[in-house]
Amino acid sequence: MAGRREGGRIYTLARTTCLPVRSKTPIPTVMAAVESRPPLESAPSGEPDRALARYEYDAASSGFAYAMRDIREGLRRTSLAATLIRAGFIQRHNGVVSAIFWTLLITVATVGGMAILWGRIFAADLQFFLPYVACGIIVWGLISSLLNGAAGVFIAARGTYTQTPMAKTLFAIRSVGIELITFLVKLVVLVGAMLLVSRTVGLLDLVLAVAGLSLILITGFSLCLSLGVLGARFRDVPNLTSVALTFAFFLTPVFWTTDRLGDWSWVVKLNPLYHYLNIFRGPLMGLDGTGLSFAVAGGVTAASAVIGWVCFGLFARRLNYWA
Amino acid sequence: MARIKLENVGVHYALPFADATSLRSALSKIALGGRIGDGLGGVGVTALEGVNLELFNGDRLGLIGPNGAGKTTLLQVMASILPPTSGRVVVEGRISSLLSIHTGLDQECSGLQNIRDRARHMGCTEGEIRRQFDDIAEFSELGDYLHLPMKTYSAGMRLRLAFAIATAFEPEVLILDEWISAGDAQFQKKAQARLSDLIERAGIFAFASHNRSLQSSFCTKGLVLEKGRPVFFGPINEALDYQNPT
Repeated sequence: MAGRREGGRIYTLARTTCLPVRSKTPIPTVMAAVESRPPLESAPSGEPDRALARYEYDAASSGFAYAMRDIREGLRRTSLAATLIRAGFIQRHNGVVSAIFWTLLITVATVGGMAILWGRIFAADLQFFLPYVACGIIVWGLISSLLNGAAGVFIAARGTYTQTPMAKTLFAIRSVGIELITFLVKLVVLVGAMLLVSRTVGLLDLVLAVAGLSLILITGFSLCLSLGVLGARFRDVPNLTSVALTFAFFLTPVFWTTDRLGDWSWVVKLNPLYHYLNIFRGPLMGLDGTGLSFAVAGGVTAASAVIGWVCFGLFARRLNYWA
Repeated sequence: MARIKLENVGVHYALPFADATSLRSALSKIALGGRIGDGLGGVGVTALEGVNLELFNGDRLGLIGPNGAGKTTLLQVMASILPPTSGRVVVEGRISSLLSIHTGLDQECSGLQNIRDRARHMGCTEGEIRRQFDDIAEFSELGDYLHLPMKTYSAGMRLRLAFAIATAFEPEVLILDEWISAGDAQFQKKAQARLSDLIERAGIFAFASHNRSLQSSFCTKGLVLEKGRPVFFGPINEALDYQNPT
């Protein structure tokens, strides 16, 4: 115990005079820690997770080199990304793990209520309508929270990137990751609904749905880069997207089928969000127009990636000044 | 090998009127025939201007100057946190920034989890974290508290953990804004020894402080800043004398 109390002194002694320990007597714990301190060799800089060993920035350049370095650094820090996603997910639920249960319950209530109510109104077959609505609500949840989160992503993270050297891309990855986990939790409800009406899905359709999900996530990431920097500069962009989404919800067949619009059903096809919904729901539910939806969503994904790159390239370096 | 090169670095904060951060006001300016930039270029704060500096392996730099001279801003530029608005920056070597040693600590998580998470924020690999893990746990002297969520810690205990993590990894470029000390009298001694040791091992050390004796004992070179401009660069004692002749 005396050794612990005198820790400061022993530490200093250990480093100067006692380093080659010859005696066989047991070393006090604090001292042992100092002795056994491993040599701090540097890891090879190619190793993943390691911060890049070179930083170069020229204010006269266009900013794309800065953005490129940021994205490279963000993508190699995989365990930090996982940490941020995990912490963000727990934080969203106020540290209550049982909140996952409540998320599920809300989804079950919404899907069940909608399916029964609108099933009656449309006189639809519940065998089809229940998984259709479940799919619609869960995917819409993913799309809308990705869009809603995108504009605020660099406002929320400003306390971090203005204090510590960290790739800004990581916050976009974090945002998409949290939404993906929430989506996967809710997916349990869809699986339950499928089982309940004993509906099966072929392997190819499953692969297509996963491909569709990937397009949604890539678009979400790109929007974090574009809407994210715009939202950091113009603080009312988050409000704008949330209003736009409320309106878009009524134009998107989340819990109604497109054929209910009759002659007007082509209007739905002008809505890109319908196509994003359809690239996941279409394959699983065997809906029409999946090919067209993949084409449109693929095009929009490519366009959003370009826009995201341009916005991030031009403005990522300004984020600290807008924070 | 660590190296820092700053060429004519300047940092200018534009201070738009609060109104200019709204998209609507920007759009209405376009509609009125103005340019979006109009409201932005005028008022601003020049935090740094014309900083030229080259540091090599073994250099220990003390930044000297009154409040608002740009010391922290310059450290942020070196730490790759803040891309300057003019000039060029090259930093070779992994940057260890002790500017904010609490970033990434989560009050809800246990001390053990926080060691891993915070080290990941610092850009350490999983292997490095594994190797240093026991050392950090031991140094913090938190014992069984490490299994409890960090929100149960006292402020001093939190600082001890943050300090233990921040000083555990091999620095190539070490950046420190004011001396950090942690804990009670006996822990402070231990912490001081650990921080000195870390500084000794660093390739390049950059240190902003108002404490002249700390700067003269740890730094070899001094840069005096005044209102964002470098006014003197030379051996630390001459720099300290320049700023405040005794």
